[in-house]
Amino acid sequence: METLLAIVIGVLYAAGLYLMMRRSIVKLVLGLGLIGHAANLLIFVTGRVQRGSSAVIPPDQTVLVAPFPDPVPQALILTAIVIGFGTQAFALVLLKRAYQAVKTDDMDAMNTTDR
Amino acid sequence: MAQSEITQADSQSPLMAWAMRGGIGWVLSILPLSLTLYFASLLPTITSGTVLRVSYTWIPSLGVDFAFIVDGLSLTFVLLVLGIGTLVVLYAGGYMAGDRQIGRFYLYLFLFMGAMVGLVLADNLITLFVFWELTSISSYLLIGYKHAYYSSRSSALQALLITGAGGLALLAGLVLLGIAAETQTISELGSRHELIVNSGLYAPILILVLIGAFTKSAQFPFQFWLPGAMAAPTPVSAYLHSATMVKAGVFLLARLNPALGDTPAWQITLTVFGAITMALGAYLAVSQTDLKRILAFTTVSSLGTLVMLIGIGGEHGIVAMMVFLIVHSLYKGCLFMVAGNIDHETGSRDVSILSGLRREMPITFGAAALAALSMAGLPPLLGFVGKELIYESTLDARFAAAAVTTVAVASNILMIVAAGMVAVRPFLPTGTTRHSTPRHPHEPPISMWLGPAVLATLSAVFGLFVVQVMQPIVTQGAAAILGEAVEVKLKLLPTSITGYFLLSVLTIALGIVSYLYARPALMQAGKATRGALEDGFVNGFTDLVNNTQAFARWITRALQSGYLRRYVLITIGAVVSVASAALLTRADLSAIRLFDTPLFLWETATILVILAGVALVLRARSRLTAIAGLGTVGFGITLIFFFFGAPDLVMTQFSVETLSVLLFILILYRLPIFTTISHRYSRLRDGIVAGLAGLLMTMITLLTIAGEELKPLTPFYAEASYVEARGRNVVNVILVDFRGIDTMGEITVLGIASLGIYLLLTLRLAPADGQAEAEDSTGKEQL
Amino acid sequence: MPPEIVIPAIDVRVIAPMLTIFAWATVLLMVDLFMPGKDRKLTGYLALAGLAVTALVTLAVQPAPGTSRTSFSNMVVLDSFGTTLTLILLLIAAFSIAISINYLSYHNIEMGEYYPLILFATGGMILLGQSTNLILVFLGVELLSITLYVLTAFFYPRYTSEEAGLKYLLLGAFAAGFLIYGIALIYGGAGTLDLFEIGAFLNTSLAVGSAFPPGALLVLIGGALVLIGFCFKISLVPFHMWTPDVYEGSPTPVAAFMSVGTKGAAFAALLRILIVALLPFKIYWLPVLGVLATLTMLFGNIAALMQPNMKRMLAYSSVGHAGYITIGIMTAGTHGTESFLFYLLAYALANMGAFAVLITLERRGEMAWSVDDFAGLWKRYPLLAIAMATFMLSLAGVPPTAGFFGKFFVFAAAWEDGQIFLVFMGVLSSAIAAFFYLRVIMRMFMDEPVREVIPIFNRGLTITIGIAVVGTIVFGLLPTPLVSLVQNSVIALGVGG
Repeated sequence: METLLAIVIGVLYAAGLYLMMRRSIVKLVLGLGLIGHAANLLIFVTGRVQRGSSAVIPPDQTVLVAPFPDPVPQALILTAIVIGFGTQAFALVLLKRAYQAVKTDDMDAMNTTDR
Repeated sequence: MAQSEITQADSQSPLMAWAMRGGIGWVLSILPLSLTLYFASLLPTITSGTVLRVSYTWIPSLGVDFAFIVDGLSLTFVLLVLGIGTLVVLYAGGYMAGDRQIGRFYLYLFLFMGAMVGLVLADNLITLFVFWELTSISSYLLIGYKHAYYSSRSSALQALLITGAGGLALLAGLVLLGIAAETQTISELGSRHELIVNSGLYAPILILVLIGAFTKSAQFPFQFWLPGAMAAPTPVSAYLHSATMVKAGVFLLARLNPALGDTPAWQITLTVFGAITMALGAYLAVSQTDLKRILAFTTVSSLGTLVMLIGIGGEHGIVAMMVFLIVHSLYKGCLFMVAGNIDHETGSRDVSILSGLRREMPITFGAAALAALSMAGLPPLLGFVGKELIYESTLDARFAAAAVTTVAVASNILMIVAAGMVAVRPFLPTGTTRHSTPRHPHEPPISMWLGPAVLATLSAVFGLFVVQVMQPIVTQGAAAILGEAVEVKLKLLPTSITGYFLLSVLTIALGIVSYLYARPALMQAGKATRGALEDGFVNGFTDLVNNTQAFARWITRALQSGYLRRYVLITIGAVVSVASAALLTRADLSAIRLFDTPLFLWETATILVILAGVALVLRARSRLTAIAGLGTVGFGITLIFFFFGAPDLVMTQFSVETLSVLLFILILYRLPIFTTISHRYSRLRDGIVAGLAGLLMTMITLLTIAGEELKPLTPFYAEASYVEARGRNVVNVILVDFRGIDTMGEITVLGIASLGIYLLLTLRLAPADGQAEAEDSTGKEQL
Repeated sequence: MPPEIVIPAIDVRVIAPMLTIFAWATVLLMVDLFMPGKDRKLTGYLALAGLAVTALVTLAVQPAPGTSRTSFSNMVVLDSFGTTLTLILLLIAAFSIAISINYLSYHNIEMGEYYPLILFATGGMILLGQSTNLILVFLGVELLSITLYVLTAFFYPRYTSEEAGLKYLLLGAFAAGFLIYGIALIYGGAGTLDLFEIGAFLNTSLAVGSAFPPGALLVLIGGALVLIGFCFKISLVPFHMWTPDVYEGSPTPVAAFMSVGTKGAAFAALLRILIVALLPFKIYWLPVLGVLATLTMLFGNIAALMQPNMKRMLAYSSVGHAGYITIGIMTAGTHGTESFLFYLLAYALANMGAFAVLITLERRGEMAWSVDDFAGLWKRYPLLAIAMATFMLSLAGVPPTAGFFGKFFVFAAAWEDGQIFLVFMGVLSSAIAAFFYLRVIMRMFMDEPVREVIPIFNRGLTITIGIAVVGTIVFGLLPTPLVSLVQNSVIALGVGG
């Protein structure tokens, strides 16, 4: 199972990076989204992947009973999801503005650099 | 700005008018004059063998102090700097009369003077370097003061580059020297000579310090910047490029002689480079027609002589160096001012058209004649003593005495020719018809002839009273350079016929003959070889600069395409290649277990759905399809979170994903469909790079899973969650309780993002008076 | 019977500076909302007051030299290093706001939200400098990054600004991917995100046997990815490529803020990570950073050589300076930390000053910041030319400016650490750098004006330039007080000696 997840992570990264090398700005943002997913999944895998159990203390207990998934990576993912969403939302609006400015979706049109 | 207006208004007042006519020079010269007198009052103390030291703590942690030392060497230099400085300040008042911004000029001049005094008095390596750089900076302010022509700018830039680079080398050398000697105090270095020479750092120290000294003192192969720097106003040339700044390199070598000297490397390098510079400078001097260029090349030659003498070393060499230092400063300062007078009064510096000025400018001529006699080395002037001592030491040199002496004699012959060209030719009638000069010549005001006259007189007085005036200070100076007490006996005329006296006679005879008969030939020869010897260095340097610039442009364009995709490509490429190299050599890939937890059907199905979503994103033609694909991936991941016990993640991911999709659709809906704009080749390349990166990520993930067993669990939260915070959902407890701070951070991040979105959506400010339109068009042009 | 609730002992003093600035920013947003009229200068002044208050708070809660406080399960620490850094960051923020106030209205982009955003970014930087937990490091990076994405894209209707925003955002998010990925791997290997615990883990796990334990390997890979994430933020070659394009497009005060503030905070966090957590891996990161620093110094300075555009030149120069600061970071175990702080302050003064001078010459609606505009400046505006010359000399590392001692301390620390090659490359690249800094001086002092440019002065600019000049020269002449200050900061970090 973990092996399969590892492959999924690899595929997500590859697809995300590929999209980030496109010229279309929309594809760049889509790529960013895929990379975000990949990162979240990866963090998830670094915690213990346990079926069924969750990091919730049962009502009759005062501590978590093994086996339980590691709660720390989950907390980290939550942070990453939220921040990723903020970034993505801002990127989208910026994209729209950029589109209005250059009237194209081509990132190559935005090329102010050394001549 | 307001400043210039004030100047303009004030220049009408009588006081200001007087100041503008040069009166300011008289007033301002009081400062260096009184300092000169103060330091002169130290002469009895110093000549009795005492050394004065004063030190202020500056940066104790680095052992850097503002430490100063007054000994024979530094006092000699200080007196030259301040004494000639006094005369230059006075001279500049007359020379620059009428210049509105003369106040600024004097500011730089005093800045430079202070830096120079600090430099020669410094007793700490870092202090010395600080003043060293200050002299460079202030000197370029002075050179840049008058800069009407492009050529003068480029030559000043050249000078700046060369001495600037030399300064950096010097800094490195001095720091190394401090490390090797375990002290920053210069006067302690002498006693650690053995330590320094045997430290293993000696070779780099020597090379770096010599680069610093050679660039500053215009030694071969850096000699070419000095004539270029002659674009400066004449008072500056007289002061910086003959008497003071260019001697800083010589001073440095003299100062560090006890620490670094007395090794074959030191002796050979200095002697050889000094001799080459001496010969080259003299040779090029006699083929010039511009007075200032002649003087500049003779300065190069003299600096070479000084370096060579330090290289020859020993008592003879050092005493000769001390005497010649004073000789040269006196006559060269005088001759530059004379050149300035001629330029100022006639409007020309071309020796081929100047003649017969003796009548119009008698005092200037007298000064020039005396100085030229000293330069030519005729008795009873001080120059004669200097020349005698030079020959004495070259004959005595520890190696190649014959060769060095021959070069010295040849150079001195040429120097006599140059002296004639500067001081005789413009003043005496040439017999041919007299060319008219741009201005009608007459004697300049007193402030302009006093300086040359004083310096020329001193050349004579010091020569006549060499025992009384020169001997005590030279003794102490030589002692400081040699690092041990010496007994020096100077004399004006030899008491017996010696080898070097005969050489002197020979030099003078040949010099006069050459001046009278060989000048055109020398001029021809110089012109013929000018391409290689004079311009060659300049062009070589220019080429070096140009090539460097071309290289810089090329590499910048190569890396800095402005295309985001290429930035990403370069980054991924770099990371993948380095990381896979590290992984393949370091990691134990056999630890990876491929099949561990058995697969469940719905999990496999979810994974397939995710992969399908990815394919959809990649292959989509329309935006909506792509967004749907991204959403599929997101929801698939939500499912995985669900299967593996992360209820909080499921909630968050689900709501965020829904929001994202909505946002995507909302914003991207109206954009056109994708078109394939990239080349098939570049798609393939990107695909390979991205695929490799993905493979790498998979490998690392597998490694992570393999390391799982070893990972210690973090039981703290599992145990403390309910006990301490009374929360059952451990993830929530972590976020809101144990680590409230990162939740606060997240909220802030979201807040900022929404603020940004709000800003972007509302930022429709009215363009300020039609500027926006104009800007848009300029923006396009920039593309 | 459930146990008693234990009130967690949260020492608010530890995050007091950050809390103050966040609170001030939030209130300022509200105040701005209800402020009448279009004029937003008052918001700017209030933001400055907020920085002053934060500075006072920072001073009030500073721990005794040599001690430190922690809070939030050891996620944040307040030590002298953090205090000094916070004060430097506040100074940088104050400069940025001071040079913005008239800039915004002049360029018709005056928005009240601008100032709170700067405050938020500063808060993120402060957090970054204080965090001892990788989650917080990530959070700090994101906080300041998102704010800067907004600020970068803020220059309407200059479309290069949107370009800059997009480039910065996309590459920044890309870098954040590396960062979070690296953090996850470190967690996977060490089972903790606490810097001290990671260090302890590595020490025990590496001490056990001769073989390289898989956990440590994951930390190593993760550390490398975290390093890459930081390389983007601090613009180390080859992760610097966004820098010139983004600086050019951003509003100039924002570029100034980024060039110094982001770098300072990110370097500080990297320093803590390397020294506290990854010290056992010094044999690995030292050569890597050495190569990166060398590439950065060389490329940054070479690329700046031929820049006709001043803003881009300063961007490349800031890339080059990142290389020198990296050397300071690398040798943090010996005297590198103090050299880092000294360098940062010297660089901040000179760079902020240089950008402020640039702003005085920036015309409404113009895209180019040509070196030509500086030609002959000396003749027309001598004081401005002297100020710019001071900054250029300091950036070039020429005495008697603070920049000289910055370089000197960095190189001395590297030498002491045995990094002779790095010192050599540093000196070599400084020689290259001197060329283009001095070229500006030459153009100002020796050329005739190419075209008539009338500088705009206002109080904020004048004061900023004035303070920067005085600071640059005073710390160049009398570095001792500053040296003793940064020395104290090092002892508290526990790595000084």
